[in-house]
Amino acid sequence: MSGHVLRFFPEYAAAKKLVDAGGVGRPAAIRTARLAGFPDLGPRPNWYGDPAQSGGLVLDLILHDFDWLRWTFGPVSRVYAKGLYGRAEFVGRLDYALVTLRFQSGVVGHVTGSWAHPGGFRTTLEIAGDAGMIEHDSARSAPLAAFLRTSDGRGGVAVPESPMAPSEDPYRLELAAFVSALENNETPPVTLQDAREATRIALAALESIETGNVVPL
Amino acid sequence: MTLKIGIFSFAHMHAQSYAQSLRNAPGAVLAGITDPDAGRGQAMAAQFGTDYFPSEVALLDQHLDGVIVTSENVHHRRLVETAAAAGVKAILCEKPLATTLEDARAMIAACAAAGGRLATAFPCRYSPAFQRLRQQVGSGAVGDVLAIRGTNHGLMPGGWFVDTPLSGGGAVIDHSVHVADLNRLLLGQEAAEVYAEIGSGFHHQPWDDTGFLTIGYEGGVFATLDTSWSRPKTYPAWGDVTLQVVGTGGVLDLDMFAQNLIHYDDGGGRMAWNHWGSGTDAGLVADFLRLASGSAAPNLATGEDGLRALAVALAAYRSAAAGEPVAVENN
Repeated sequence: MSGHVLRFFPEYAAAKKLVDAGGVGRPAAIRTARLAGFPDLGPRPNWYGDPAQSGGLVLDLILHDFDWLRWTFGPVSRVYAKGLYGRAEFVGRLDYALVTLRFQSGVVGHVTGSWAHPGGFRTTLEIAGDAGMIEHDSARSAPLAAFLRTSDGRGGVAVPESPMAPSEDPYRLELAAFVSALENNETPPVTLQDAREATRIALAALESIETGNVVPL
Repeated sequence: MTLKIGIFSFAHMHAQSYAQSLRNAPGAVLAGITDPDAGRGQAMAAQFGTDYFPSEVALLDQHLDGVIVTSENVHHRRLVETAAAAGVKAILCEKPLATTLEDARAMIAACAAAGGRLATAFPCRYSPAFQRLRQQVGSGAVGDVLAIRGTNHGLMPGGWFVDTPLSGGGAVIDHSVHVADLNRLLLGQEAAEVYAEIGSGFHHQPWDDTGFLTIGYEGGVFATLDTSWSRPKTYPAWGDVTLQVVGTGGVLDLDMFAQNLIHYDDGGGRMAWNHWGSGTDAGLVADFLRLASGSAAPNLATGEDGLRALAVALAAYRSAAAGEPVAVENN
């Protein structure tokens, strides 16, 4: 089983369920975004900053979106992307990519990946179809926010939280699915074939960024 | 001196907002309206307290200082050329400037030859939030700009907007020109290359309702632009204009029409966003009146600006047909 944990995040699982139930009619245009600062590993060597080890955010971060999109909307037929990957002046400190996907169904998808957003982590999702639309924005759905005064009496940074019941923690659900598959000798819910297909999309995006060409899958 | 302004056609709904802005503007008068739909023209003339004229020629006999063209897109060229030939010194044409680059170039040339000044209606330039964004980008608040992610979503407008012999296309020609123009202002660079995925998955008609453009700029900046008519009927507003400007020093996020009250309306049976932010058309019309008075109006989009934005939209159609990125025609 591959660790595509996004499938176990409750908002993404719920969105797929709603799409599958016809909640937007026939899907037509999908936008997802994953916005963060550049990964900070503190004193440890920061392998995220080495494109050869991380693949940049296209392979490391928005691979999650590619897997979820393919899981929900089916196979991708071609990829076109622009990004900062491969530009020496930004290695180790900045990455940003805008990826457009065309699905075999005709659906158009657009994925934003950012390691250029200082402070915080934010995800957004918009699924528009011929009979409705679903929106998700992590910045607007956090049920708890802390605004803490610092010791010098000035303001600190607001810290939002979106806690789940322990039994519905996405990482716990992911591990439980893996354990269950092992115990019951069943195929795990995220197969290596799934992982391979998501990786093909990400590698196609990187190829498009590097060559400027449309990459068919 | 009171500036006399005429409006050619109320086919485009923005004509009503321009007419209202003219009524509110000091130093100007809406001298008359002409419209091939006489019933509509007469109704609009009554609504805005002016006269209806049965033809452009009859209205031009009023010795107008300026003309606003708000017809179906395909008629822009003929109406602009008619006004220019009559000696009108300032002409404001609704966007997109035309449906072909040939028409747009001809309009620019006709105005130049007749000594008239052609302006393109790009009201988003007058958004105070955009002007603040432009100031911040200009002052280096986010360092060097690397990328811009834009959207201009809308409801499907219907009517002649989806009658492509009149409109020249669907969502892509209708919407991409706005953000193409804003990006150009922010970057001071021309679009060099466009790739587009175009579709019709919302309405399943021959015209495009889905448009995702990727634009490469001369200086290496890249942008995407979602121009889709993707808002459902129950969406609380007409659509959006958003820009995410990513630079070496941070990110600026613009949501141009975010200044809303949220209105839960049992009577209307839906939730709606009630916009309280500044309108953009009054600033546009005020600048056009400066042009009509013979003054400089440096913020007003010229015919050339309209041509550049149109070239991006038309490149998107060419790209979608070719299945690969294409060069933008900038000559």
